Amino acid sequence: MTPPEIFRELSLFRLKRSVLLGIKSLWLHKLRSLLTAMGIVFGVSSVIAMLAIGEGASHEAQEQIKELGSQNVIIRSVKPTNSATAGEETRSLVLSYGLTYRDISQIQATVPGVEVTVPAREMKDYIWRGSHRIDGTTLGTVPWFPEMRNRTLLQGRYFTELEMQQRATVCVLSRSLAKHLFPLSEPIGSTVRIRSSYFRVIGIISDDRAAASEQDAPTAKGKGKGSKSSEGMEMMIPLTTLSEHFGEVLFKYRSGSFEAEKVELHEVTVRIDTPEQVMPAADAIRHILERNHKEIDYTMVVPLDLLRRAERTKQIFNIVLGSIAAISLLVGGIGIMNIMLATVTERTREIGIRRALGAKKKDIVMQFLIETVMLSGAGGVLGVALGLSIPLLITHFAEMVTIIQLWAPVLAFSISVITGVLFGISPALRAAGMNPVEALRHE
Amino acid sequence: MTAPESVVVAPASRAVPTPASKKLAAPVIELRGVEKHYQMGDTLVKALQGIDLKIRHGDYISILGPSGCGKSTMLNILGCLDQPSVGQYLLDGIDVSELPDDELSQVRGKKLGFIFQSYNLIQQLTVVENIEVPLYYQGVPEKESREIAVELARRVGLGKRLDHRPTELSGGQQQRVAIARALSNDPAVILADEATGNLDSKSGGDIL
Ligand SMILES: Nc1ncnc2c1ncn2[C@@H]1O[C@H](COP(=O)(O)OP(=O)(O)OP(=O)(O)O)[C@@H](O)[C@H]1O
Ligand SMILES: [Mg+2]
Repeated sequence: MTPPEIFRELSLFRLKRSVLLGIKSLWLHKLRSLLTAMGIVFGVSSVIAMLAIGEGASHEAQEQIKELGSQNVIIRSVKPTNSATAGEETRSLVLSYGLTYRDISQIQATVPGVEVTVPAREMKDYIWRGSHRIDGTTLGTVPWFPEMRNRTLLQGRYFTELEMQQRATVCVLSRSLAKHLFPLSEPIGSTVRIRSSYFRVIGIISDDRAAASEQDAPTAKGKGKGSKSSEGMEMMIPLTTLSEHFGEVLFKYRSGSFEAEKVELHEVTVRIDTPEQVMPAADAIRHILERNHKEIDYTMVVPLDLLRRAERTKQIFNIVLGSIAAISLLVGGIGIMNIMLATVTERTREIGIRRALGAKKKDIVMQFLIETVMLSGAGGVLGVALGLSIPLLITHFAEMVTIIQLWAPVLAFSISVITGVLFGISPALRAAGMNPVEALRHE
Repeated sequence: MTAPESVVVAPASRAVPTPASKKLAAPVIELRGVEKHYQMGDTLVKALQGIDLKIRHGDYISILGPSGCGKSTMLNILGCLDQPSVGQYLLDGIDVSELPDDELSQVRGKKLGFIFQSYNLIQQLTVVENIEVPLYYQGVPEKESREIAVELARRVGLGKRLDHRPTELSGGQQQRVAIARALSNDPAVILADEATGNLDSKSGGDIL
């Protein structure tokens, strides 16, 4: 055996024995050790749980935003709230507001690198199947709507450009609407009615998962769209068909009252060629709209902006989390240090004996350091176990998405061990610094 | 009541394997003009003064004297737990009076065996584990050290108490564990402070 080999074997052998010794000493005061480790347990578990919850929430938000398309800017018409002009318009019985074809052509002409891809008009009215009706939204739009808005076709097909040209009376239902209108039967090929127009169902599309987040979007001005009951109840028909059958002025019959609205376009999706151009283009569009509209009868959603905001929120959340984690681990570490200092005093005699029997200072340091690290490490293990189970329980009972990233428990555990080392050094040095003669005399 | 006594034993067994006759003549312990001073405020307490001493292999030496005359102080110096203020201490030919702390620990672990007055067993360890402590710090491999410890425990009549803890032993049994522990590293010198009170010569002396 070469000297380095001997050295390696020796230190490994010592480490194993030191760990066993540490377990024995900690086991001698089971309750005390457990209570001491509790600080670390709760520190570590809360870090893991909070990370999982935060990650889950931000993931959910980002998914929804991404569905809107990060290179898109979505502009919607919003009925203005109690403004002077709105009052005038009501007298003429037709309320005129919202995006106009003029806005769109100006955007198209002046903002570089943009393409107005998905214009849409919407109409809120009952959608009938026989005598069964649903309060929903009918969306007049273009064939490439699903692709642009990341909506997946679940069944059947979407309408084509030809059908758009021909003003075909075909429709695609959102999943929720299809489920409510056709709880038992097959929707494809069936017919639904709006007022006096009949439409043939040709496909079913996924629900608008982003709807909820759009409503909370900080850029949205004015009133949120639609009532809760009609949320997600969408029916898509060609834009041309909508204009032909229901005209430019939309009449609404709601709970006895009568409203007429003239809105040229309800929704427009503008696609920007490159991601870097999104923010400047959005500013340019906002500028045009501000110039064209005296009152705020539109809302702009910039998914990329939302995404950035979400990321920033997450960063802040992480900083807060980091501080909480640091504080709780600090408290846990101080608890451990306190107990270890008491232990060292209590075991002064043992230290004296060991020193007399040949232990070097560094042997004593190692002994107490290993004990502290095992204490905090055990706390770390318990904390990881608890921290992994809390998100599972939350997901199970609160039905919230939680995401546990692999590095979270690894990081939390390492920090707990590092805490043990940091807070164990001082008691261990104190133990090793004792004068053997005095330590032996200690009662 | 006999005067308190400190005992220094240099087991003869260690002298046997040393081949040369000149080694036999060399003392295990040699003190040359050793003094120990304690500074207590303004006054200098001279606990030890002008000690010259030679102890050879096989010697069994008792240090007698009234209370406070410095027996414990001298034993601490002999046991390398403390170092003389003045003078030289040669242990097995090595001058230990100026050694750094780590090397002093090494010397204690290798050449000295201690039997403390109150046995000083480590409470959380079993009989064998207590006997193994000096071997552990000498880096003796686990298996070998276990064999030595079990053999020693047998020799002091504790073959059936290997896994007992000190609290589960009688006073005499604890004493025998302490003796076994002092012997486990095959020391050149065994030191015992205030031995007569506790070390009953029947069991203790037999073993030594
Ligand atoms: N750490 C110390 N600081 C100051 N003085 C000390 C110290 N240790 C011992 N002394 C003094 O040194 C002298 C010798 O003490 P020591 O303990 O060696 O006596 P002893 O012979 O062992 O007595 P006893 O038989 O009562 O145990 C005493 O006067 C004591 O006061
Ligand atoms: Mg004394």
